[in-house]
Amino acid sequence: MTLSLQTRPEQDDAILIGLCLDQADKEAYNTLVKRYLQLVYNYILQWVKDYQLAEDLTQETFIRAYRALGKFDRNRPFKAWLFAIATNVCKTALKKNAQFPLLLDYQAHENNLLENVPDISLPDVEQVADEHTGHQMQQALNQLAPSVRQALILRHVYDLPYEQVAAIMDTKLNTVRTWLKRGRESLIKILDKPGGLLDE
Amino acid sequence: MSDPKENRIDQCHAYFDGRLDVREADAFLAELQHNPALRHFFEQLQSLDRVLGDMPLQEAPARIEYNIMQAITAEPQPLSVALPVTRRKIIRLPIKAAAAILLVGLTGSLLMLQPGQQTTPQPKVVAQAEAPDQEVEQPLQPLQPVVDLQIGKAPDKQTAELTNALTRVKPEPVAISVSHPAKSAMVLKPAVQSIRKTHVQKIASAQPAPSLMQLTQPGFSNQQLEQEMIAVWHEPQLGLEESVAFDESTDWMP
Repeated sequence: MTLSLQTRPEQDDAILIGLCLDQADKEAYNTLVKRYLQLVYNYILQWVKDYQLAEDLTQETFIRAYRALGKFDRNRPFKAWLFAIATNVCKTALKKNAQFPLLLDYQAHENNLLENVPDISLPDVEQVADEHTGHQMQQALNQLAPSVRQALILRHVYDLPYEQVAAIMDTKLNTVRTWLKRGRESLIKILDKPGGLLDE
Repeated sequence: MSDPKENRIDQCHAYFDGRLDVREADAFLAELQHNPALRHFFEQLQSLDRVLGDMPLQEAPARIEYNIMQAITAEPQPLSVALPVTRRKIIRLPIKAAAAILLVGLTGSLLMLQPGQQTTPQPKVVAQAEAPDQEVEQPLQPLQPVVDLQIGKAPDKQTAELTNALTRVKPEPVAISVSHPAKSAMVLKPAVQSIRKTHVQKIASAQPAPSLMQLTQPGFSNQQLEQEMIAVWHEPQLGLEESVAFDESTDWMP
C-alpha cells in the first residue's frame, strides 16, 4: 500500500508565517492577506463607519502586522492577533479624528459603487434580501454602545471564543460576558417585531 | 436577593455559550421544557446568533490587497525575535539599571551644573547600562527614541504623543529621550496621569499609588517625578514594564 502526502489546500496560518519569516516568502503573506482581508475590512468598517477610512486602516493593519510578524507567537491564533492590531489602529484613528459619521452611510456607499462600476446589472432576489437583512441588522447594531457592538460582532459574526474577544478588546472575560448579554438582549428587543429579522 | 427570572435568563446565556456543566445543563433543559417564556427567549437567542452569523459582509475593494502588497514589497524582511520570556529578561533589567542611572544622573546634574554651563551630549545610557551578568543573555541594542521629549511650543501635543506611543506600541520597546528633564515634567506628568487613568483605575486590586497631585505642589523635584514615573511604569497591571526604557541625554541646562 502506498501512502501519498497531499498538499493541503488551506495551509495553516502558522506555516504561512513561517514561510514569510524563514524564507522571505511574500506570497505567503499575500495568502494571509487574501484570507483575512474581507474580515478585517468589515471589522474596521464597524469601527469607523467610513468606507474610505476603512480602506486606509485595513491597509495600515496588514502593513503593521507584517512589520511585527517576527514578534508573533505562532502558537496563538493569527486571526485574533490581527484583530487586536486592527482594534489599536482604529482606536488611534478615532483619537486623531473626532468627527466621524455616526452611522454607516449606505446611500453614499451605493452612489460610490454606482459611480465606480458603470456596468449595472440587475441584482438577484437573494442579494436584495441579503442587503436588506444587512441594513436592518446594521441599524440595530448602531443603536448599541460601541463596546457592546464590538463584542457581539467579534463573537457572533467572526465566531471568536470569549477569551480571544477579551484579549482583542483588552478587557476581562466577565466584562465581555456582560457586554454580550446586554447586547443580545437589546438586539432581541429591537429586532423581535412582527416581520422583523427574528420573526420566523 | 437575586431575581429568579433574571437567574433563568443568565442560565440561558450560559447554556447558549456552553458554560454550564452537565448537571446544570440537564436542569436547564428540563426547565426549558416547562417554561414557554424561557423557551421563547432561548429560540430568540438562537435566531439572533444565526442572523448575526449570516450577516452579509461588505466586499473589500480589490485595490486594498494590491496596495498592501505594494507596500510590503518596499518593507524590509521581518525578523523573528526571541520568545517573550527571554525578552522580558533582556529588557526589564536594563530598565532598572537605566532608571537608577537616570536618577543619579538627574540628581548629580541638578547639583553640579551652574547656570550658563553647557554640557556635551553623552551616549545613550540605555546602551551602556550594566545589568547582572548571569541574567542578560545578549547585548542590549540601543533603542531608537520614538518620542523625543524636546520641549517645544505644544506640550499638550507631546503629552498626547507620548501617551499614545506608550499605550499603542506595547509590547514593542519604547525609548523615551528625556533631553530636558527640568521642563519635560509638564509633558511627562500628564502622560503618566493619563496612563494611570486609563489603565489603573479599572483595576480594583491595584495598590494605591502615591498621588500625582503631590507632584503639582510647589517644590517637587525632578527626582520625585522620575521616581513616580518609574513606579507607574513598573506596576505590573499596566503591562508597560516591558515596553519602556528610559533614555537620558544630558545636553540640558538646569
